[in-house]
Parts: sequence; C-alpha cells; structure tokens
Amino acid sequence: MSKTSELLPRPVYLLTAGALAFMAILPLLNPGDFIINVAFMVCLYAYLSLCWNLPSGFAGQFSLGHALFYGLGAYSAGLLYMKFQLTPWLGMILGPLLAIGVALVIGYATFRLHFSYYSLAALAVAEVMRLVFLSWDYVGGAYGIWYAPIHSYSWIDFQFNSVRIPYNYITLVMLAGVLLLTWKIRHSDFGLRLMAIRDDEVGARSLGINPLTHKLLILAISAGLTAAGGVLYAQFTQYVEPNSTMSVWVTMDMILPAMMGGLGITYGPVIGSFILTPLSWATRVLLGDTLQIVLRGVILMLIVAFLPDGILKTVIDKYTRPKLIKR
Amino acid sequence: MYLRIQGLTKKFGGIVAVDNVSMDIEKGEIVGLIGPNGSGKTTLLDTVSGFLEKDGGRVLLDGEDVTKLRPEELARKGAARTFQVCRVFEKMTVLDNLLSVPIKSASEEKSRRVKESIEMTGLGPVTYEYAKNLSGGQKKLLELSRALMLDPEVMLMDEPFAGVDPAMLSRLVNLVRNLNSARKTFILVEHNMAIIRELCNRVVVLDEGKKISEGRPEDIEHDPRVIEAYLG
Repeated sequence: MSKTSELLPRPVYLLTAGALAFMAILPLLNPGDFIINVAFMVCLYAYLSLCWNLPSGFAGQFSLGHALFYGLGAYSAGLLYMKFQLTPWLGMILGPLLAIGVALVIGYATFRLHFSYYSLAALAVAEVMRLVFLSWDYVGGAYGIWYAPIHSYSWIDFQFNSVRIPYNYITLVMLAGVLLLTWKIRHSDFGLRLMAIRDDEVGARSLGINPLTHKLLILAISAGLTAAGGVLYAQFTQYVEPNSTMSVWVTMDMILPAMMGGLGITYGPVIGSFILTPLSWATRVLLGDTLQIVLRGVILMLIVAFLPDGILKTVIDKYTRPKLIKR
Repeated sequence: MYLRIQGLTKKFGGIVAVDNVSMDIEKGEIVGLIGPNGSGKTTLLDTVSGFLEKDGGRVLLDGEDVTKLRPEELARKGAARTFQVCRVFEKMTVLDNLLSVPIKSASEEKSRRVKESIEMTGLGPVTYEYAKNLSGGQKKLLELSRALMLDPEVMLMDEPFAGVDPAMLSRLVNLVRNLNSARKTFILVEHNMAIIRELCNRVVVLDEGKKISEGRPEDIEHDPRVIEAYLG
C-alpha cells in the first residue's frame, strides 16, 4: 500500500501549474518594471517559504531565524563580488555552506529539546548576527555593500541591468526545483518519518526513528536553499544591508505564505505567496510602508482566527478527504 | 533467557523510583507487571527501553548488553514499546502512521505487513482517517499494530487495555494471544487482574520501586504482601 497523498483537489494542481506558467509568460509581455519586480518577489517568496516549510511544516521545527541563512547567502555573494572580484555565482556555494554550518550548530545544540528552544535560539542567533553585521566595518556596517552595477547584462557578473527578466526566470526555475524537491520529500519514507517526529517525537523514537539526524538533515537542506535565495536577492537589488536581509521581518515574510497556504503542505507556500506578495506590494504602494506592516499583522491575525490550518488544509478536510472515509 | 534485567535502579532526586529490580523473561512468555499507582511500573519500562537513563543495573536482550542503547536503537534490535497515553501520529492518516515505521525490508514486504496489520486490527474502514479522529480503543489498536510493523521479538506495553470497551478489549487480548503463539514475548503493565489471569504466565509485583513478589498469577493473588500493598 502506498502512502496517503496530500489529497489535494485537482484544481489546486491546475492552479499551481497555471500560476507558474503565468510567471513564465508574464516577463515576455513587457508589463513594465514594477510588475516584473513584483513577479520576481512573488516567486522569490514562494521559494523562500517553501524552504522554510521543510523543517517547520513537515518536521515541526518552527523556525524564527531563517533570515539568518538568507542574509548569509546575500552577504556571501556581495562580499565575493565587491571585495574579491569573484563571480557572485560562487556565493551559491559559499552562502549555502555557511548557512548549513550555522544551522547544524544551532540544530545540534537545541534539537534534543522541545522545538520552541530551536525557534528561539534561531531567532536569537539571527538577531545577534544582524547586530554584528550592523556594526562590522568590513561588511559595510549599516551602510551595507553597494554593488558597482554594470550597464548591460552579464552572466558571469550575475547582473542583468539592461534586461531584467533573467532574474525572473532564474527564480522561477529555483522555485520549480524546490517545489519538486518538497513533493519528493513529502512522498518519501524520509518525509513520513519527519512528520512522525513532528507529531510525536517519543512515539517516533520508540519505532526506531532517530529524531536528531532527521531534523539536522532537513534543516541543513532548508538552510542551504534559503541561502541560495539570499544570493539571488543580493544580485537582484545589487545592495546588501543587515535589516533587509537578516531581520525578523524577513523571516515573517517566509512564514506568512506557508501559514496562509497550508503549513506542511507541498503547495501551501506557493499559493500563499501568490496571494500575499502582490497584496503586500500593492498596499506598500497605496498605503505606504507603515500601514503595510499593520496590514500584514491584521492578515496574520485573520489567518490564525479563521484559517488556522491554512487554505489548502481546510480545502482538503472539507472536500477531498471525507470521500475516502467510509463510516 | 531472552530479556534479562539486573539490579535496575532509577532515581529522581531523592526518590528511588525503581530500586534494584531484577527479572528474567523467557522467550515466548507474557509477564504481567502490577503494583499500585506510583510503584514504578512505567518508570521501569521507560528505563529498560532507554527513554530514561539508568542509575544502576544492566539490561540484556538475547545475551547482548543493551543497557546504554537509546530507545530508537533498542527498537531496531527488536524491542518495541507502547505507551499508557497513546502516542499515535495525530496529523497523519492511519495508513501513514503504519508506513512511517522504518523497516529494512523491501517495499512489497512493507505493504504486505501494512495490509496484514490493517486486516488483523480491523482498522480498514479508517485507513485514511487522521489518527487524532480515532476512538480511544482504535488508537490503542493503531499504536500496537504500528509497533508490530517492526516485527519485534519483545513488546513492552504500558496499560494497553485501559479505557477500552469490552468488544475492543477482546480483540486486543486475542491479538496479544495470537502474537504470543508465534513466540513473541510480552511485558504488560496492567491493573485488570482478570486479564492478567487470562494472559500472563508470570506476574511481577512492584511496590515503591521494589519487587515485592513474583510468581504465577494464581499464587501471587494469595501472597499477603501483594494483598496488603496492591490488591487490598
């Protein structure tokens, strides 16, 4: 007998495929810089939220410090390029390695305890690192690292200034890749064991599952991929500073799509980001930054109050699963 | 001797919860573990299965020293454990609960075992139900059948029959009896003396962490120490 699928209704798959296809076509329609940039952010945050969802949604290790991994990626690319004149693509190796290293240290120190210790330790380390980077002259302090932008575009410099759309396609490919990876993990024995650990760690141990190694592995995967997202962000903005890469708000932006779409459900973060990110940019333009943050808080409260399991979980429980159960 | 517990001791601060307890269990035996609340039965199981560190003593499984093993290692050696308060994976379906158990066998063998255990336990109609929506008795059945996915040689069960209706009870008891006839070994913590009499070859009585009596069920029921400490 094979594992229970997520039992998503067919429209969810069609909607996701449609959304990704839309993102593939959109940049070709010449919709203007703002739309192109928002489209990039939608895909980037879908990607980041998927990464966050791996340890948090599937293994129950709710992370409040993912911005740390993201920031390490962004700074790796920025420093390699501006201090060492090396291609930022190397950041795709260095950033993930640093992030994995830090993740393993935090994880090893806290994963034997209740998940909240990991949550808080990750938050604390991320905040401390943000403060360190703010006052560390070598990495530019609060001023950050400003790229010397090239005027055309270059793959080796990982900059596309005359034509911006390669950023959109690189993100889209990364998004599709991590979506596929999530699907694979969700439907693997490893994924089942992660969920077993999430639901009852003692029970899982009694069946021969080692929670520590499972949690470390999924966190390492997630941290590495999140750092790769940070590299992409650094190349896109060509400017890296601590607050926009390592602050808890960045982590919040990874958490919200997953919470809204469905925590621990493969497609949840994608659905969430496609709803939330455009909304957040629209309100940023229409209402300004402060009200935008207020609105984000209101959305979070509404989710917790009315859709505590997220959109997809509610859909599954109401429509698809009841058909499978013979009473 | 299949499972050998020697001088097992567990302290919580000044309280000696398990005090120098020894017992030997033969392969294919069903041993009942009884005693008043707080006498150390669950702590004994937790200590043997590696969830709690031992303050003294040794545990041997089939001749091998397993004293220092972690619970997940012990499970892989063939000693499975169920809990007083069911530890089913609540947000997973019954099917996924069973499939989450890591076993080395090929996937066909795993599927066969899952099918078999769903048939054996009668959980078929709720295969795709979330474990949290099961009744108390169904959860007990699920936890037991999930542990059986490991194909364990010895089962350490903490009050598997508590809070279960009579129909479910007879199903669980039959399940244990069938497994036992296939030479599986059991340690059962149980308060229901009727079930103890029906199932167990031997009973060990604990009181305040110490073993106060041991013997056939019909004999210990007449032991004055047991009557005073437990049966009343």
